Amino acid sequence: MPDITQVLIANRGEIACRILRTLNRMDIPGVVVYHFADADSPAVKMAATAVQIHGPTPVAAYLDVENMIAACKETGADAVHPGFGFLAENPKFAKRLAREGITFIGPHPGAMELLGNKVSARTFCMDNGFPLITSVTEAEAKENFIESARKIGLPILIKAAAGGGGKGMQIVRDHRSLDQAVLLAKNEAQRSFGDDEVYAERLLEEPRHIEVQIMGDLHGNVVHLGERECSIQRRFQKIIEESPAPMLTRELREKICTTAVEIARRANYHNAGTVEFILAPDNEFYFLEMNTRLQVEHPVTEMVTGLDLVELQIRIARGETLPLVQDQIKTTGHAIELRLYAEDPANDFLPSTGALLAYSLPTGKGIRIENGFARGMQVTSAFDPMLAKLIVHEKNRNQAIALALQALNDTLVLGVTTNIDFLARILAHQAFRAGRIHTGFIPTHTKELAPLPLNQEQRDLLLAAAALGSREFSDPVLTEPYTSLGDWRN
Amino acid sequence: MQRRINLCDKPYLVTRIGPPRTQQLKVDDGQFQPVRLTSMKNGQAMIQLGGSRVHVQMAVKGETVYIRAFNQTFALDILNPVEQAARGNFEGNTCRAPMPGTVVTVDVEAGTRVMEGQSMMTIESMKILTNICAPREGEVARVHFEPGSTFGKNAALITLTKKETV
Amino acid sequence: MRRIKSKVNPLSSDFCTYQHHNHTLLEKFHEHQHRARVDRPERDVERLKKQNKLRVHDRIDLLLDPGTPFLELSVLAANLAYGGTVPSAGVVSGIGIVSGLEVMIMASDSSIKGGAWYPLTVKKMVRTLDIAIENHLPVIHLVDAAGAYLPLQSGLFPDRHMAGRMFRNQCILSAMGVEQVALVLGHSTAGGAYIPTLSDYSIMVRGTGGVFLGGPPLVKAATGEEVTADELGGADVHSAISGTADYAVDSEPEGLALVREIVGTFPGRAKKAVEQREPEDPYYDPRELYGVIPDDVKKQFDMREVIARIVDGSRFHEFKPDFGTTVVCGFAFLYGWRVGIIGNNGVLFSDSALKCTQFMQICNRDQVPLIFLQNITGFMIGKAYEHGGITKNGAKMLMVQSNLDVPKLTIMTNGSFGAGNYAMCGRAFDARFLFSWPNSQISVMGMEQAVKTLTQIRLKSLERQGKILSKQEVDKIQEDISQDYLEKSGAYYATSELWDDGIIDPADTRKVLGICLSVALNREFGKTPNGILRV
Repeated sequence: MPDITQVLIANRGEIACRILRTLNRMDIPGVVVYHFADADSPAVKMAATAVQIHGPTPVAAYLDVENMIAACKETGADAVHPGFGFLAENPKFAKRLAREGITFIGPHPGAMELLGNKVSARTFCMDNGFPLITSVTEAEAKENFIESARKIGLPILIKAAAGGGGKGMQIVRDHRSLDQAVLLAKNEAQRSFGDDEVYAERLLEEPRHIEVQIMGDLHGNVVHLGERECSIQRRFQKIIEESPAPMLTRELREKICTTAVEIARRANYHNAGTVEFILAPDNEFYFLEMNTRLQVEHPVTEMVTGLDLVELQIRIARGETLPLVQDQIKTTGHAIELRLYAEDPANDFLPSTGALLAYSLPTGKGIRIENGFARGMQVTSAFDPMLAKLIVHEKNRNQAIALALQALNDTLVLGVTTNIDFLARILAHQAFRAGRIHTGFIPTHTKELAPLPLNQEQRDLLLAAAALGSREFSDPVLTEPYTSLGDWRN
Repeated sequence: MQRRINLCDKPYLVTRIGPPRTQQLKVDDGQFQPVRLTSMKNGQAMIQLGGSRVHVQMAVKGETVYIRAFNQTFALDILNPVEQAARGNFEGNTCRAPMPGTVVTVDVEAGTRVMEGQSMMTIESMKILTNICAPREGEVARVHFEPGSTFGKNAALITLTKKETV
Repeated sequence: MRRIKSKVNPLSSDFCTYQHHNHTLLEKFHEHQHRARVDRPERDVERLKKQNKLRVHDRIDLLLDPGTPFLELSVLAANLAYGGTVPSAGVVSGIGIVSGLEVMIMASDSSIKGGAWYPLTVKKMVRTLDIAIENHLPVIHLVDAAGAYLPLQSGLFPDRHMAGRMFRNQCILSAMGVEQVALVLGHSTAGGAYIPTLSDYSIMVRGTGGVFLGGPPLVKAATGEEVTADELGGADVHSAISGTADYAVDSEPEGLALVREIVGTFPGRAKKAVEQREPEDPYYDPRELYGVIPDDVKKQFDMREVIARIVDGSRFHEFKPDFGTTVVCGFAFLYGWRVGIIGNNGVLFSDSALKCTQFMQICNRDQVPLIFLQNITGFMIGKAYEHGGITKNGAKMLMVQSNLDVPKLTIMTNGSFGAGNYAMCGRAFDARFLFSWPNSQISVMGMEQAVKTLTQIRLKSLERQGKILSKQEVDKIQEDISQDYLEKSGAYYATSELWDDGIIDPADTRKVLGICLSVALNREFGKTPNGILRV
């Protein structure tokens, strides 16, 4: 089994910082690659070694396999942690690394191909009797894909086979827009994942998105680390995640988690992965997809289990046996993660760019921050607009919500529009507090989640503050007699 | 000093007069009231207007003032009077970029007649495609960017010819 | 400095009578001003609207800094001329603050005969630019004029101080380094085309602005060429092709905002380094002046009561108080600036003239601006006085006064007759500003005397023609002559003919003088040599 003595992080932003933290704790030197656009980022400053990479666009640089190989060779890194997104679920990358004798801290490329591709994951589940939603793939239907998709009924969800994060997804509520939706989805999938294959599935209304964190070692041991509720989404992207999922009976929870472990075991999966399910209002659950990587929201699992998932990943990659068996894995309390995005909730969540003129994140007991920015940095359209993750952990859900609200109140970001206040309004919403959540939460409660309109007094105070605070309003100094005369006319 | 300030997409005319220690301010046609801004550290400040006051957190960049108050964050734009007077002339005739990005496709040219809602251009930003559609029926006067070029927020993308007045 | 102790009794019957009289005069004055500013033929107001043009006062409001004053000059120019159809002589001029700078604004009013130039229009514009030159005031021209009013062209074109003088003044201003910004919001034809072209910065409004030496009708008549105003000399032609203008804007508000931006780039004007102390409002209410000024020009009042209602704290240091008591000389502060004041308290005698002469020498040497408060029926006449050298001593006063370089500001508070007008810095003596109170009168000779003389002359002439007149007819002739004389010596006639820079409310005198003094300090001034004083 290969040792891991120096890890190259093929990623950026907050996840690069987070991986570095664990590497530092484990006394393993880390190497960070960065595009010039990220030159000022905290990860670059934190790493022992940083290697600049290039590409036609900043994103392209991080997608470039050769860049990573070259950086490994240059620095002598013998392992790569891909984070999430970018090359994390790229089997070609994993294979290439294997050929170079570099350890890929993640699953086997075969598992990636099987489960990372939504279409083949679906087939795998069908063949093994795991619960699935009605769907049809391009491979099955071939030229009749559109026709077969139509047969699913309504509403339909068109999804990219090669990746997630909401990219390449289109909802179809009217069959007339089916062709257009497929076209758009394919275009976006091609651009985001380099693969335009899509599939269509029945869209359940008001489902909950429940996912299970699993961890498998190279010796066939697979455990689950509990489930996460990720139903609060916009643009098919999660913005609030929590663990444990509220309002689940012990039996249901057990059933979902063990199903997830079974899926992983049947697939010979090892290292970190997440099995995502759709939970219908009638408590039926269906396999959605499997993410063959560490996920953005993994910190909530870490908070309730007390485990360091990145550390587990590295140890598994080194060939160690899982240090815990299922019975030993206990969860305590309740954790909530809030994704702070530079976007405008009032304007269709359009991303916002600008300089971070003020940037201050909260600290304190029960608060964990994963942050990729610093004051003075520019938020550009080069990357995904996530600024930071704010994770809280408290004894129970109500207290976690209260702590989260307090933490948001202590967060200050000025210079770009953010979803901070929007997140606070979600947390304060009756339905959220009662656990009545589903993936359509935000569109359903749009009106209630809108900010309170300002009254005239508040509006005037803001205008006055702007007038007095800005240079634009500087007046030349007048002298007598003008100071006494005011606006006199003869 | 008098300037139009945009708050939540609406312009307000703000007038400030008086020597530094005894300033007065009015919004649109309201009454003049004594006004005072006291800066504290860390971008905190207190603004008093007449009998009201509130603590705010502020940061300024160019003509945009970012303020956190009333559990919301606002970006107020102080409009330059020359530009603002000029922009007033093109109300309804120019489509502006909702955010910075790149032009992907251009589907019209000068002289093309368009219908209301017709897609004229597709732009991309942060991997999101947006269609720039005609705000009204009319004729394209000018397309300001070509496919592949990048632009900033509020950049004029397509201008229609002035509406014929009846 | 001691305060003047007012002896005015607001409860006395004189005070009440005078107050009533002056209030009536004031009401009439305000009404006249309002009509001159606001009343326009409906047809012209509609035309402005159609052309998307703002009214001239609205343009000025958009130009001025909010919360700052505007001193409009000669509001009632031409009020008794041209049948009263050209209020303000068709042009608005005044001093205001734009982007923090004191400026002179000169704006044509195209709601009056299309902004056409009458002889008094030209006289007003020349005077406005003269003020700009004398006080180094940057000028903002709002150009919107149809051109010369042809039927009266001989009164506005050929002479030295007629239309050409305007353009000459512009050139002088330019060489002096006093900035001029022009905004062309209408047509600027023939000679008028020089206004924006001679300005340092010229902005034109698309659609309405047009600059050309000959307009389309003239061009067609002269050469047969057919061309639109825009093609000939519109905003784009001049800002992009010929270079005659510097900017083209799409609307009046944009143009006005651009003027403000340009003026905002000008450096502040350094004032003459004179000390300015902390100002103090007058101790006595200026509105009491309405009860101080008598209802008859022959009635006397104490000029100190006027001074007390103009200067800071009503404080006045009287110079040589026991000598030449028919004139008051002394120092005071106006908005913190030290000024010398000379005010009439009766007829001028030798000693009063000599006192003034001495006082003005001090002001000359020490560079103290002077304020002249006129209420003078003339110099004392008679054998004793001639032998006493009244003519010679009056001449001394005139000699020193004329040669002063310090700023002189004159207020016609009541009567201004004959040579007294000269000595007390009348119009011919280059006061930086000269204003009249509504009750004031001005003529070469007091009315009674003049009317008697004129009536005699008329009667003699009629006698020679063999006419015999009844008592009624004689009375009627005297009545007519009186009326005519009264009218032509009244404040309204004076202001109509631009013999002053405007009629002002007496209670506003302090404010007006404050602004005038402030702009007067925009340029250097110094001691000047006197001429020869006949001793």
